[in-house]
Amino acid sequence: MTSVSANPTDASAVKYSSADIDASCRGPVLFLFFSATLWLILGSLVALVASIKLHAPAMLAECPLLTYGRLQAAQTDIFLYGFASEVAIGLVLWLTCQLGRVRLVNASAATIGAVFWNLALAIGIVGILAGDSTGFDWFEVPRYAAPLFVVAFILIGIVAVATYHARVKRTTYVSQWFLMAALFILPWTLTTANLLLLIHPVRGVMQSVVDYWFIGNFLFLWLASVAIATVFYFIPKISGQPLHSYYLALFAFWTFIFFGGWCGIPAGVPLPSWLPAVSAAARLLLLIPILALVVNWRLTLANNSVKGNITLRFMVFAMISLLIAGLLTAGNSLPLVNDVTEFTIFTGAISNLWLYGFIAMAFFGAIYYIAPRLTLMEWPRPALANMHYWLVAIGLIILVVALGLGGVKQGQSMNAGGSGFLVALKFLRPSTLGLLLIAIGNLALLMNLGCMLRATCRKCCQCSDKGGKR
Amino acid sequence: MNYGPLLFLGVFITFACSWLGMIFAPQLQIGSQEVVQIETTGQRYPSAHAGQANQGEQLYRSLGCASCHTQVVRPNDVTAGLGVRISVAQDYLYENPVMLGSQRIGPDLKNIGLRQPDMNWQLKHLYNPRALPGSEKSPMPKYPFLFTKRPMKEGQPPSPDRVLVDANTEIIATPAAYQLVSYLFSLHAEAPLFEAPLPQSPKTNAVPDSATTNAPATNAAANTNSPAK
Repeated sequence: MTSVSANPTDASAVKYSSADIDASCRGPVLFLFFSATLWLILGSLVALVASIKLHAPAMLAECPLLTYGRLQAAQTDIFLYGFASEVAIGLVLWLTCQLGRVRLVNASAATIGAVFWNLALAIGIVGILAGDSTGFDWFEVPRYAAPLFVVAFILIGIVAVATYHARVKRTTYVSQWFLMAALFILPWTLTTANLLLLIHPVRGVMQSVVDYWFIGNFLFLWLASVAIATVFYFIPKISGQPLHSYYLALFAFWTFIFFGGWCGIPAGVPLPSWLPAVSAAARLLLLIPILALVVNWRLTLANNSVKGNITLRFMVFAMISLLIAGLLTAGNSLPLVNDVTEFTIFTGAISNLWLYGFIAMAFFGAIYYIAPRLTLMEWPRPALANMHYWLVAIGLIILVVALGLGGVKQGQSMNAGGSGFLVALKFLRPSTLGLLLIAIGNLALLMNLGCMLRATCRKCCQCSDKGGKR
Repeated sequence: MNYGPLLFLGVFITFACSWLGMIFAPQLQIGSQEVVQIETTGQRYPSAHAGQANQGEQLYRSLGCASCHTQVVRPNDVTAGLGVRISVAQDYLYENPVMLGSQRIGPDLKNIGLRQPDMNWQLKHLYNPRALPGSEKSPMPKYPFLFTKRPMKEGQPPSPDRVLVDANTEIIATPAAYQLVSYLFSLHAEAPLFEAPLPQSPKTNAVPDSATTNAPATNAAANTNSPAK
């Protein structure tokens, strides 16, 4: 085996130019980014309405479609499958092309896959609001939407693997390992969950085991893996430094993939006690690859200033979030902490740090870098990008601190025999403010991206008009 | 690591370990649990839901009740009075889907059938939680769509399903409301099990060590009749 290049910018084999490669994935990737942004806005709005309903439960109470439980399930799935997974798929396609210095193998198949994915999710969300939720956390999308997801994933998966296989630059970079692992593990996880929860449901609390396993894998080995691949690509790329250590990255990859698959089962659940114990140990050990990742990225950045570059700022925020999320996840697996925080809103603090603080922030940074290269134009309103960063960052900090502190207070009250949720309610008010700021910030991204795509379409139409007149 | 198939093989083996450990092994251990006979009472446990409770369970799923309510009693919760003993896998044999929940924006419901067995209270609570004394600050949504309204006319006998009268209008429970309450009533786990015996007193945290006693607590039968607050 030859050595692995330590820098994604190092193009040893130049067959296609970067512009060439960007042109090949323009259609599917832009489509995925734009639809993901639309889902993100919808999800933010639904989350906001759900959060307000906690303070004013009589609001919209007459309509079963908008009852809290359904909105909550819908907003979770909109974020997970609409925003996060669609950006992740877009990034898998784009990064596979860029890192392999190869054109996307079959862009139209990928676009059709993306259309199917959106269609499947739209059906699923309508199903959830109509009351067809499966009842499993993070897996609420009803069974009848599954076949479309399967078609979508097969199309996209084949395109991605074929592109990876056709790569011109044969040496691989650490991002590609994470991407290929994620692409391999996602269908396995989804298939297991579908088979054992919906098609041939397993008996009793075994259903919860399957669901917890699914949640852990979906979070760590699908979304977080793609986010890690993204940060691994952009930090050396933008800072212009080669990756600090190849072996540290290799170590982080295998340990993350290994421990990530065992993390799902929470502590107090009614299962044979070895199961939650193994998961708690895995969550503690997951801190090792997380530290390896953060140290590697930090040393790669070295003395680079992050102020100027919007993508790098998002990446650094993601990096810090990953560190805090890892520490909290590990800390929360200790019985001492977990006895207080389990079943409280503290759970929400950790999942928001992972999903928004790390994954979404890394994805936002990537969108800000990639979209201008695909549309061949600058962001129409750079101020909006700046605003997006600050609103989401501040909103997220408020959200996480409110949920974290509230969770601890709630747990203490619960253990003292009190009604913990009334204590939690006080802290849910500032968390609603956090969600509002995040929603406004996301709207800024939509406006910016919308303007950009409109301008691109216009430019394109003018070209074709001229072509027609000639 | 530049050789694609090797990467896939490595990831396959790594992930297969996780699948074997977290799916296959638990399935071998608890996937084929059966109903057991309670030594002290001779009853079989758990019992299957009645039809109405089954329909109620589907409503519970459909309305997303589990986003705020857990169905798990931990040792701390026994002390807090949420149940007479801890929850174990056996308790969920007939739940489909199993909805353990992940956070409590409302109380745990694993023993709601023991704690609040009053049908009328449950129906009123579903209609408008904040109207009940003690729940004025409740964040729980109203479920008016589980009820119908009928203006009261003189000489008309009251509906047998009347829950309350609100400004000369009868609020009448629909079958769906009854189904949901039936499901809530089916939620009670007080039978002493080998792996989850009843503590000596439901108010203390002292769970007898099953390894040393090797049998359910002796005063189990007495405890089953005393629902926790």
